[in-house]
Amino acid sequence: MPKRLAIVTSAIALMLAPAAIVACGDDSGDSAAKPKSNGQAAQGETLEKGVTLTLWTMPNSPQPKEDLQKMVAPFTAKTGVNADVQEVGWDVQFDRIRNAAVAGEGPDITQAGTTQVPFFAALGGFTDLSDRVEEIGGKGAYAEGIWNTTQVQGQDGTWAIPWFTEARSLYYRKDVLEKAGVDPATAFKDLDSFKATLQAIKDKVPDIKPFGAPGKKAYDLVHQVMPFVWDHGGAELNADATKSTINAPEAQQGVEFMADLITDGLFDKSQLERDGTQVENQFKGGRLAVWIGGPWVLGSVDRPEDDTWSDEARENVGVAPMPTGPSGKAYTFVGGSDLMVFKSSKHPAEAWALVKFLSEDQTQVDYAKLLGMFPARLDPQQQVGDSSENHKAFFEAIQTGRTYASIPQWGQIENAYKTRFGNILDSAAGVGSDYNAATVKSQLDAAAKEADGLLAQSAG
Amino acid sequence: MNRGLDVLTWLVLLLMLSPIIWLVAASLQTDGQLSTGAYNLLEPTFTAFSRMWKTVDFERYMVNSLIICTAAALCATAFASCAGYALARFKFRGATGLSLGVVGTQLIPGSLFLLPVFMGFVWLKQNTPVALFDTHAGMILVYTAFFTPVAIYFMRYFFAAIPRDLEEAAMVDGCTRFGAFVKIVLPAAAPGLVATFVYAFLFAWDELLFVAALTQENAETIPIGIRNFIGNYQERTAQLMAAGVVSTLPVLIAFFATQRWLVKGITAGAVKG
Repeated sequence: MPKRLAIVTSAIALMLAPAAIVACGDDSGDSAAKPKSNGQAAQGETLEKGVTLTLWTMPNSPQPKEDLQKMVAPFTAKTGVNADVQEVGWDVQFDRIRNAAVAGEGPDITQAGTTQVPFFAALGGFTDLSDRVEEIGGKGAYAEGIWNTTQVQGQDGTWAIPWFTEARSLYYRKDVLEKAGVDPATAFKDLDSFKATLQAIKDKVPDIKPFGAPGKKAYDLVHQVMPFVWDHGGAELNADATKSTINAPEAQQGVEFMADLITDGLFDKSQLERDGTQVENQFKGGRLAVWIGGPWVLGSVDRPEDDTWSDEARENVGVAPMPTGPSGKAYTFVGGSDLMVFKSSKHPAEAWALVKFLSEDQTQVDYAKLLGMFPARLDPQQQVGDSSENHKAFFEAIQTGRTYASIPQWGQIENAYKTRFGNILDSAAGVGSDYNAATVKSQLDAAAKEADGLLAQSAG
Repeated sequence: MNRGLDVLTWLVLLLMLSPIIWLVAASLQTDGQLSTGAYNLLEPTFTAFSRMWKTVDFERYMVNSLIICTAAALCATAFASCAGYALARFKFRGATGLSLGVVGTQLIPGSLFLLPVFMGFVWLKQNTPVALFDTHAGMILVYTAFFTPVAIYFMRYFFAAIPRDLEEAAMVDGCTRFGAFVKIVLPAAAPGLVATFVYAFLFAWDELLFVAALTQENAETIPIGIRNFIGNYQERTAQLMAAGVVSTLPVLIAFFATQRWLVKGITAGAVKG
């Protein structure tokens, strides 16, 4: 009977993907809050040798499957438990994980994007790891923003373990800044100096575009815009995540700051046609002087096979923390991926042992280095942060990084915001409606209305 | 006038070939050249072709695609030959209804079947030893079931166009009905069989929706694998293009190898001779 129920649930989830987010956030949310007996075996339990665990991973590194398979080889050698790493593309991972969670037919462990965790947790197909997290140091072993990604706001339970982390910082070209006569130490101190630096580059180094960011094609457009909203004291939702605040005056100022870079001619508007990685490649190829990006780009500097780098750009990469806003703080988006254990796993003790292994400091450092990401845990994070000046900028960004409200509906709300942010940037670039304060307000009002609708549906 | 038409033909041809030309040209560049627009078409490189096999386990997707698509196309063509022949030659109760029913299934959007098929496969896996979820057999079954109705429709008209005299002559000479079907009718319907096979093969080769939902690891095909070249943190456009070229090759080979069957009707003149 429970299997039949699971299949019927999967039916609804498959057919009504968008509605499922709302529906599951409501009904399954309650079930997600109940403590689960599954996977609560006592510490020190013996592991069954010869068992094979299945682990889903996404294309994170140059050779995702082989890289991770090598990484877990010592675990197999030590415990006798095999791990079969399976690669799931980012295009299909959301559907696959959802289907596996509701149908009870999937791997033992999966990687999940940090902002996806609350949605998956609400489906009810994952193990609550609350009773086990102390074995790996619990909440205290992680930065606050990162630990929050394992929770569902307003509910008990720990539904994931942070795996690796990324935060956004400013990448710049040292040689371009030198030509523009700007000191890198103060170039991006606050929003005013940030703008002044871009203006200096525009005036003095005409053969390179000062700045660029992707438009609505990018999966991470919201990650690019929100730091400026947070800088101005705005937020994506109110504190208890019941209402959108994206149309508040502070939020509007933040969005306008970014859009004004376009009207001031500091932001290369042709980048709006591109997605995140394409803009990244523009920086690596030497077409952009300043760009907001994650630590994986730093990891690719020393990889000669990465032919997207031009020699000039490769030799002159600098990283600076995001500028401080009028609120006095420098915000940035912190993301990455978590690990989740399926409730349908036939080997919960072994699955947890593998999660524990992947959370060991040395494994975290080794894997994060391979990916060009940061470890999720504080101690190994510090190690990687200390490895160079550029890494230090990212380490600092992670400590002050911020993420979105951990609610099941966030994915849909983010999509709504993405469309509206994209429209605003387009209008600033001369496409669509005229760019002015009223246009920005009406777009943000529409985004807030859509978000409120999504929040209300789940509450009702 | 003729020259004008020739020019127009070449222009249309060029327009239609331009995506393929771009696919091949881009696969011979590096990711860096593609992302910055600094193309150098005069100095092609095959790096993307050698790297694509390492980046993604493309061989596995390719083998899965070849097995599933070939088997499904063969099964659909075999079933459709039998059913199409029966509908073309015999009058039996319900023949019209069956014909209409076969065509009628095409009026229902395929995606509506996704859910019941998914539920059925998962239920079978969890409750019975029948393994269809994430297996070659499961995908072959799905694609065969999808394409058989259209194939029956095709084959029925091919068989109907073959003169009855041929098989009657064979039966007069001592052939059984089945013998005449196998030895006389099927060879005469070869262009139809080939066309049906190739059409079914191409349909399965491109299909993404069902294979994305009904597989997890063992039976994933190229449309799933090819997307792994694009990740959140890196895009390997040149390798994606190279994979595009590699996955187009079997289709091109299938087409050119069967081209003469596809375009030539061998029944023409069969009875006159």
